[in-house]
Amino acid sequence: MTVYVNDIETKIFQGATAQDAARRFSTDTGTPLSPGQLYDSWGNIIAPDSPMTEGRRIYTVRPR
Amino acid sequence: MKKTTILSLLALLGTAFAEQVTILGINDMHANIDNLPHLAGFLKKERARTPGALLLAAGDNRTGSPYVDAVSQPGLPMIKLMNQLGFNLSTLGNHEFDSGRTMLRDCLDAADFPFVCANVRVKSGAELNLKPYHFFERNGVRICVLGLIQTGDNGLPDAHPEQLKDISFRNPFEAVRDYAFLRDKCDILLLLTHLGFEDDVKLAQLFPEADAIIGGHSHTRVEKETIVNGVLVTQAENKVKFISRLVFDVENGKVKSRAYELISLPDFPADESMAASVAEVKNNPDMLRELTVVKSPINRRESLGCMMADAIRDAAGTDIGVVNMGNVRLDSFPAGSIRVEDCFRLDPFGNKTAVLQVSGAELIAFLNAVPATDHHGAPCVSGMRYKATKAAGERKPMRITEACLEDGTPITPDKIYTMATNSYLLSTVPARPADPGKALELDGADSMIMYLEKQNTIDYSEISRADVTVE
Repeated sequence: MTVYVNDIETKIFQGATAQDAARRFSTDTGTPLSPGQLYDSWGNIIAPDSPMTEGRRIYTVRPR
Repeated sequence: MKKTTILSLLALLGTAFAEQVTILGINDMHANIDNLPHLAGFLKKERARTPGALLLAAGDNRTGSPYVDAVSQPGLPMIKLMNQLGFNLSTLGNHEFDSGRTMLRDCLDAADFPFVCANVRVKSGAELNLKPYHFFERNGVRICVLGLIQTGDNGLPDAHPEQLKDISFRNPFEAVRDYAFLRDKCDILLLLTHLGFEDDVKLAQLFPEADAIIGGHSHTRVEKETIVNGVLVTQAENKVKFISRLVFDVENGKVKSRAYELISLPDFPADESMAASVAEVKNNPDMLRELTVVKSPINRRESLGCMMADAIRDAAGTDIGVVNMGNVRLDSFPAGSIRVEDCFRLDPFGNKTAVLQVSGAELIAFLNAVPATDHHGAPCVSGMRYKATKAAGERKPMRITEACLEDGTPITPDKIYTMATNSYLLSTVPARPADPGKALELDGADSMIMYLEKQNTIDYSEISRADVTVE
């Protein structure tokens, strides 16, 4: 499925978590992941095991 | 002067009729029983302050602890603890279905509180003790709570389809409109949902009749009061770390104001009685159940990794299984019994087993890239063996020089194979196969339990499927 990490399109397996998506983003873009929080598009903190769904947007830095 | 006096009297009368109702919402507890004594400590204080507070769970109460999930009656220990905590109501999350309909029925029957879910239908003769909504009354205020569960692209919640036999689901956004009539039947209308925060926002846009949504599924920490289309949308992350407190002031049958607060639970002292109950749950003899017998001591980590790769391959029914050495948390295993709790010591991570299709070339590229993401060593495999060279040093990729299936047939670059691996490798290995794959509702320890209990004995003492020369 396709999700967006920091607004970058990221292909990830079905059933992936937010942490899986962030790791895939990091691997694909060569962006090191700091052990900080993950956020949804509303700026809420989400747990690393938050389930991902098609088209969901998550962020490694709190969006404005 | 006269007018002012009348207004003052009316204001006083208004105040006299105002009632306050407190709702406590928690979601996605995922059987994190270690935090329940803190929840009990909080509830003791809260109920002393507001005796009529309602305690609601927005689903996924279970799945996350072997003490709840890997026992003879999966899910039931969590229901018993929820009874002790005095829950008033729960909705279903997708993980409530993880042990199938019969076990879910037993859990619902054992609960001292009702379950609500408006978009689930069960075949005649297979009924569950479940209703779409439930009414409460507190201080003369009528509260209605309607339950909803998420459905995916396949029209089913995120659970193994085998576990959903005889059950059908409606799209929650369509189903909710059938319940608009509830608005006139109560003073406070709550949606107790397991849809995820983003879908709760969508729900609020479609269903402004609700006063608030107490949501779950996306494990979102909603810290600020979030109002969408006039509906308060809440969620308290997961694993009993937080609880939502919603306070409604109701006057003459109308909600006049509402307040929302997210409360951190570990800050509250643990309740001793609940701590004792949790200790009792952890003392379950099911965790000591013998799965099979290890014939000879297993002294190599790679051999244990091969056993784990065999387990995920068997569970997924694939040609190949791949496990990274970092996923193997024991260096050796003695001869004798291997028990349920040993599977969680071998693989405590809870990474999901994932399946995908790969060409032979993609398989080799994937395996070659594993050491770049896992510095513990070469990958452990099932259904195949390989020879490789690897540069000295951590995170250096390896180069497979020979690879064949377990019957000796060479792996062909353009042939398609099915592969099981774990969700960690699938999201971190740089060499990405074209098929993104799919995670099963099964983690590594679950796969191992299923695999080992089918074996009379096992002997992995001499098993090695990777011959890696470090240059």
